Amino acid sequence: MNKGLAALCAVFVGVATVATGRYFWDFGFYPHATGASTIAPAVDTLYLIISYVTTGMFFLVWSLLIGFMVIYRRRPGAKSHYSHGNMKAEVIWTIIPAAMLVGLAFGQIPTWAKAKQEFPQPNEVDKETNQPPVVLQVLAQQYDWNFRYRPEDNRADFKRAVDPADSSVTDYAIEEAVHPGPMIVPCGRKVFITQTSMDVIHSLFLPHMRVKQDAVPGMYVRVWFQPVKFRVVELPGNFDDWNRTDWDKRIDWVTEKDYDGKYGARRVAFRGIEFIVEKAWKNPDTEKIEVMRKLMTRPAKVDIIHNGKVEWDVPLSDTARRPTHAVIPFDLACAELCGAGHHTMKKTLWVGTETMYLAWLGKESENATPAIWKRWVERKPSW
Amino acid sequence: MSDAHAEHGHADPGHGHDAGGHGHEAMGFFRKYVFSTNHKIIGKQFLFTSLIFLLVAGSLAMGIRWQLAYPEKPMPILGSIIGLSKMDRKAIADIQEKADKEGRALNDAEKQDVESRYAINDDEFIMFTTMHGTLMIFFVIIPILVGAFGNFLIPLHVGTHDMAFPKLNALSYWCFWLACVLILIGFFVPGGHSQAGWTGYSPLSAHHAPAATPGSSQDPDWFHLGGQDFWLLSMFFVGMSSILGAVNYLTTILKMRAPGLSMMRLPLTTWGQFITAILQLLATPVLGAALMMLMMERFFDANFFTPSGLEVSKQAMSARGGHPLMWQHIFWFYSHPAVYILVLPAMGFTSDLLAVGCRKPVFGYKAMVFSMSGIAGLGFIVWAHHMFVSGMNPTLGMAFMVATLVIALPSAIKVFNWLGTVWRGSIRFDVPTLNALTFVALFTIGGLDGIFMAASPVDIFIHDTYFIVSHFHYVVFGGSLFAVFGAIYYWYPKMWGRMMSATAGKIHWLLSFVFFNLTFFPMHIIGAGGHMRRIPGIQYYPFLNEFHWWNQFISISAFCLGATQLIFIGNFVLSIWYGRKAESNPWQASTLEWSIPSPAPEHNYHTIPTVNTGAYEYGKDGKEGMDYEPQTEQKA
Amino acid sequence: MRRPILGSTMLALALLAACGDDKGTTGGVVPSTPSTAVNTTPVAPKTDAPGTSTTAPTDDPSPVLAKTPEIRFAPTRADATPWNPQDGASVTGVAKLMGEKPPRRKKVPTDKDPKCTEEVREEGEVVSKEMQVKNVFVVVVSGHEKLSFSKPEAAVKIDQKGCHYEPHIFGMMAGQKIEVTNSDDTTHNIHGLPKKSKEFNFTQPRKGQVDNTTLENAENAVTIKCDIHPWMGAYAFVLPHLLFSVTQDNGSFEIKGLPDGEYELLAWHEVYGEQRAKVSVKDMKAEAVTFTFEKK
Repeated sequence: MNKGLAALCAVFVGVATVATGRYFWDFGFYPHATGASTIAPAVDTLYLIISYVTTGMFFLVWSLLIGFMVIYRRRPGAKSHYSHGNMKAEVIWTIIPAAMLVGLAFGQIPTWAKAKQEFPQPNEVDKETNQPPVVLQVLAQQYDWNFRYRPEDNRADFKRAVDPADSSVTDYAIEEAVHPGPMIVPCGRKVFITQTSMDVIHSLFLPHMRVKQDAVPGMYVRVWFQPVKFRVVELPGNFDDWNRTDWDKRIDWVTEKDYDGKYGARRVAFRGIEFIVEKAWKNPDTEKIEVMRKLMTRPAKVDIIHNGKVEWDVPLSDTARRPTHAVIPFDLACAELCGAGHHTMKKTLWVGTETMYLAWLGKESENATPAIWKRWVERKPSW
Repeated sequence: MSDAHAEHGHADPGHGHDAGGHGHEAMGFFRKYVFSTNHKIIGKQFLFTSLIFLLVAGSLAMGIRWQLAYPEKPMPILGSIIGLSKMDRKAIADIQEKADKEGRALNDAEKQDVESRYAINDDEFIMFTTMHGTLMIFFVIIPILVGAFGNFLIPLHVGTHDMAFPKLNALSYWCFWLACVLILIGFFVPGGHSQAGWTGYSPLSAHHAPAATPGSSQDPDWFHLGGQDFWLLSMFFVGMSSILGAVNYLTTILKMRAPGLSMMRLPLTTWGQFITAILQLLATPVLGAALMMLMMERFFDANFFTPSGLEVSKQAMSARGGHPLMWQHIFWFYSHPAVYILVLPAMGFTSDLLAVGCRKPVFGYKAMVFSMSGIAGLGFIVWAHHMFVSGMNPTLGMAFMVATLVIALPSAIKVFNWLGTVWRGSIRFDVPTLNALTFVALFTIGGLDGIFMAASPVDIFIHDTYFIVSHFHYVVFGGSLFAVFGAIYYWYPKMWGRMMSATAGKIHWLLSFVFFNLTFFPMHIIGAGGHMRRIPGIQYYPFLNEFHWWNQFISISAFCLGATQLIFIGNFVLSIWYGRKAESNPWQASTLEWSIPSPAPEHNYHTIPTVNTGAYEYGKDGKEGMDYEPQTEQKA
Repeated sequence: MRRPILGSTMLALALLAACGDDKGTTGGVVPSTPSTAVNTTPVAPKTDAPGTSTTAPTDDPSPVLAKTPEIRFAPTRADATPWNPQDGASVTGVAKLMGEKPPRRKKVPTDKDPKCTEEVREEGEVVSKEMQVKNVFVVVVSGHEKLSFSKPEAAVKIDQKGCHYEPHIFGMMAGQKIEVTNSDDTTHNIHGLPKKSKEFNFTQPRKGQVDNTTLENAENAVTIKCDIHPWMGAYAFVLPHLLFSVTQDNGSFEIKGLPDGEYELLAWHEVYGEQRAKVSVKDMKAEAVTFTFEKK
């Protein structure tokens, strides 16, 4: 019976190895969403290094284990080797892993410090980008994200600091601030966020930016990131193809410097078109219900940027002015259990050029201030 | 050594030649079998209770996987138990009532409506994840590893009649039993059970009015207690049970060892229990304090963990002055050592089972003892690696990051020593050995995952994703639970005098191993892709879309894995009556418990043995052609 | 048998349960309710202890919203006649807002759920160009005692359509069924927050799903919200009678079935607060009532 078991095991391990190899061939060593911020390469490289080290260790241990199981299986006449251990071996396999672990530990401290401690100063021109950072406040609630931009963003002389130590941090006039729906930031500038929560602990997760930080009630927590590229997708000419096209092949990553050269002259929709997951979608080709299908939204109207000028509220049905491309936002999620609606705390992060950003903010200033911000400012909790 | 084992007068069910014999009281059924103070019966009580909870928590896991794979489909089999929320039941009753009033059967639309109600609801999903975690950790793994095997084996391994404090031992079980009753009641409370995660973070868990989750609200019809309150009370009693047990174990091991049995001659199983008991004794009171503080927060507005100015559901919270991070620090100060409680006894079993199965002494016994101690000691200074992105000072994060990477070292040493044990052995592939080898293999994977998580920049991305879920399932299921399977097969004869079926055991092992890896390995992939924990599906997140297929694959594997465990349960239960009768030492093992008949008699040892060697004298030429020397062997 | 540890544990548990009773700060005794409702608990109203800090949160976290009205309904007289909406006069009227220009209804960002494709505007202040106010709840607060009312069998309906509640404000009798429908192709989570009845809180993932719930005790301006779409809100008045009306787009309301007598009306708007007016019905006729609100 043991031989049968061994054969089955060998089959399983063989199939698993082939499948895993095929997976890594297709997706690379890590299936992360593509990194789009300045910290992403460091985080991803660290992940890769650890992957190599641990995979190597895994193969070492498993091949020894399986090898020993085969070689030292009980055979008539064979005896086990009586030994209580070997001090030299112990020393070797203590020192070498210890050195590797300590090296790994100290090697990654600069990355951690950069991600979590080297904040851009809200009122100063940042040395790396030669521009002041975008400053925004995030207020998390069950179950939505609320954003606020100070009204005179983008100005280096804006005097009121958004500083967690300053208890008047919520004090700039509620009506003057812009309260966008999604999070909107310009590519290439640093973004400085002060975040907190209205009720329970939430966590701001921007997967493409490699940002995750808990929004803790009772604390203002600082987060920063700098997007380096954003996504532009080519829209098919035929509306019928919007739901059937393999969108991921049509995505182009572009930096704010490249944008004008590549797409400046094109008609690019920069608000309203985004990915959506349809829980149950009827495929018009096969007439079958598909679960969890990624589609593109098709809003009635979009805003288009063309040669640096913005055209607002262009109906998509207007074939003469139809956009040829669209800027696609990134995902924003909550990554800390915050109640029954935790999974619905989805929002988007729109990243675009400076022109798009200013146009966005201008348009979003028409939005209502969420009642929750009004109550928050009124309450002025002094933590 | 001590005369604490003068407590006689309790019978062992069924077989002891000494049935009730010391005769001053004839024992009723309840004193003998239910409220017994005999460590073996108490151990079995823990085992039975935990196996029941294994089924309950496993069903919740099936519900979780069903929701992730087939979000709106009605769940078969278990759907009528766990798929129907209160609103669903009410709606079905209303539809039926309407049809009855009109004197007709349900029409198609109504039938579809009723059927659709058997799907798992998004809002109940969180309760499933919370209770699956809570039950598995506190009501399955800890009670089996520590309550069942600690109780059963420690007196046998140290060569004494019973624990140092038999009545305290019984109290430990009955505290646990009370905890079980309380946690089960929570499922029936109107607001539902706790929905705040097994970690119970505040302020999510901290208030009943306004309640941040339905499970947090309190119902006046239920003594003003809600699901969260039953959770808290129950955990408190689990903690109490652990602490009482730990006192007993430490005293027994330190004070009641047989003559000649020095600490360095103890089997590593006993060392595992010893070190685990120290962890429990030192860490569990901290959990008790945290729970007590949270209960005071909920009942008396003590405001430990809630700052001022908060608002839930448009209602102001009147709390002020607390800090949510304080809960996290106090909770994780216990819960990190707790995860070592979840694994150290299993490491002890693995060492024993490998030595017996490979007919070799454990490679590097002293190194094994020191690394278990190192894991336990270092385990107290790494807790905030659960809090890297929690808002605590990042410099503190650096310190914990270094400590967490260092704690990988003793575990690595242990893995190499196990490899050394297998090396040049003569491996008998019986069921305990297979399971022990699986522990080594799968614990390695789980441990290597730890390196990713310890690296705090990487943790920024994988925190609270399925990467973490994969990691802890590899160490607790792939590690501890497989070791538990092996331990149950191995010590079953000593418990019931019968052998479990080896054929069923091997089939269970192979299928579990295959399906376990098919279920949990892909979670590394989706976790590294950013798939968050505790979400009932990817339906709101386009960036996770490519992982839906993986969710379905994992779920199907999980259903097969769940079904496979029925083989084990069947084997376990049926072998009690139909298993082949066992001799006293079916495994040719050298530790003390195998020198007495199977099942173990009421007082274990008729005369306390004298120990002359360590526990692992395998591979030597012993008497009568045996290839080992029992611990009680008389030296020439 | 002495079991001191067990005994004291039991005692502690009993004490904890007993003291875990109502908060004590409010003294609000919550009546125990028949368990027809689900997933619910009564939420004891919290009044603040005298503040030690100037930044103590107020009891009402929504200073932008008007206070819920305090109404004492006189109990039904012993000789009351059953109410018949066809039998009696209709009291009509209009609710207006002082001023020249209606307040602008700003857009509400619904980007959180792309399935909410229809534009949603703020619902707090819906005022027409002629300064007529919609969604004012008008209710008879005195004069109703001579009529008796039985709880209607029909349910009061609330629908989740276009990611907002339809109707925005409604009245019902205590214990009347509330039929909740989800007409949207997205999951909604209706969450009622009464202070005097059991909360209801449940999701409806399917389009077309219908569930029933209720509010058992009389209460004014019960907040109803959606946990998933935080901009959605509605109000329910749970009344001991059915003499109420909600103003339409043109600000008009009509309360039917009032026999001759003196009545007092209360009109409540969620931002503008309350106004009261007296009206008398003579010979089955009544004067039209105008409520004029002022924005503070």
